[in-house]
Amino acid sequence: MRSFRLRPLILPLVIVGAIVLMVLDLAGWLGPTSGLIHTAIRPPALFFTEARRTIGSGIATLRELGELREKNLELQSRVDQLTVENLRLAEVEAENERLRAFLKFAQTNPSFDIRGGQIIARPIGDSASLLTHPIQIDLGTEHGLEQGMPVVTDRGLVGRIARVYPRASDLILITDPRSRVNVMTQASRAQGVLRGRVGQLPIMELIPPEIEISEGEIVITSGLGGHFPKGLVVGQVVEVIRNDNLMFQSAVIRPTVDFDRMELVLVITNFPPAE
Amino acid sequence: MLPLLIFIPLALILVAFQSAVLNQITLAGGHLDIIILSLVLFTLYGSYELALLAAVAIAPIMDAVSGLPLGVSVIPLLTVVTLAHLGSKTIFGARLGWPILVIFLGVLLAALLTMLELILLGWELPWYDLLLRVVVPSAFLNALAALVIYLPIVLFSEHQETRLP
Repeated sequence: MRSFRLRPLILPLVIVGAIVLMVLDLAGWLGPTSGLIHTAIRPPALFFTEARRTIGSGIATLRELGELREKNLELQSRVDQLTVENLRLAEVEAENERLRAFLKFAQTNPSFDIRGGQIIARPIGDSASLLTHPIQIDLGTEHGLEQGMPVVTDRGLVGRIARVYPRASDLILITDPRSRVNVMTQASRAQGVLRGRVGQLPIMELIPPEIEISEGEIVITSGLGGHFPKGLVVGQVVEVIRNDNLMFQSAVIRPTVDFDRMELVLVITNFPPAE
Repeated sequence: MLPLLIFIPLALILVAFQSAVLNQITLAGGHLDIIILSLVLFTLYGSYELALLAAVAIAPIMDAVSGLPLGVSVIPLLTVVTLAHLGSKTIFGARLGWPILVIFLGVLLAALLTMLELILLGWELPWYDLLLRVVVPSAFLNALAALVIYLPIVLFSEHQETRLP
């Protein structure tokens, strides 16, 4: 190990190499390399995810047990058994509910060819960078996925596929600052563009000032621009921002999808997104 | 070649831990950055040259997982390692304050350089929001973590020095 010595030219060469790498990646020549890295990182990522979940659920269980002990010590062993059993059944029931809801979504939207995928990046994690938050799903080009395809859950729009690898894809959530979605309010039919923000709820901008929108209104995709099908639920208006000095009004939107608890998503594969 | 063979699996584990665990935990808007913490630690108490190599191994993996163009993180991580190395050669280097300062500056610098590269590559970034809501809180958080991590190391090394004849 100690025999390794930095030669003066190595640092500039590495920097040039990095620039070449960026250019090649932007030209789309490094797709297989990214796919390889995603495949390689999957086992340790799943391991850490499982560990995090186990520890988290262990802590939660211990907390519950502590409260029960205070109430009734003599029933402790019985409560332990019931807690474990309840957790298992709750999980089964929750999964059942989710699948039933997805089935309902598929039945009420028969025109969409949907493909179910288990979110692997939420378990695998966000991103390793502070600056981006893509989420990965366990479907890729091998499953017919393409860049730009809309992703939903039974509760509404999640985002779109940003990059596709053979067996995985990166999603851009509607809360991501890079995301723009053409939306409209369901009751007042006000059109606008939903923009994700850093650390804040997304905002619907470019709303014509003459339209009266109110808090609590449901926001859906407008279908304009051809990036998303029309009518997908996006969220709810929580705050309307009006300013007489501005040409447009805007509204803060709370997404209907709980991105932190999202375990399954649906990819709409038969919707050809506009370039 | 041998260090690279060791660093690649280590880098995979480190990046997986960062994305699966640390980026899921938000404290005051910031995230702990085990990658920068490890690289600085390795630079200060290990070898600068190997730390550079480790940075080169980690950066593309980090980029792929983060949806960034491959290679974007190379220059920021190399800069952090070089900053830690150059600072350690000054009179501040031997003091506890230096690791804390270099972590603080390193997180800021790495994020700023990454944002600059992304903007040059044509990305639209809300750089002000990112800086204010994510990067600066993360810099403070990691500086605090540096204090917790480096304090025992410094105390231990000082203890060892006093024992030497």
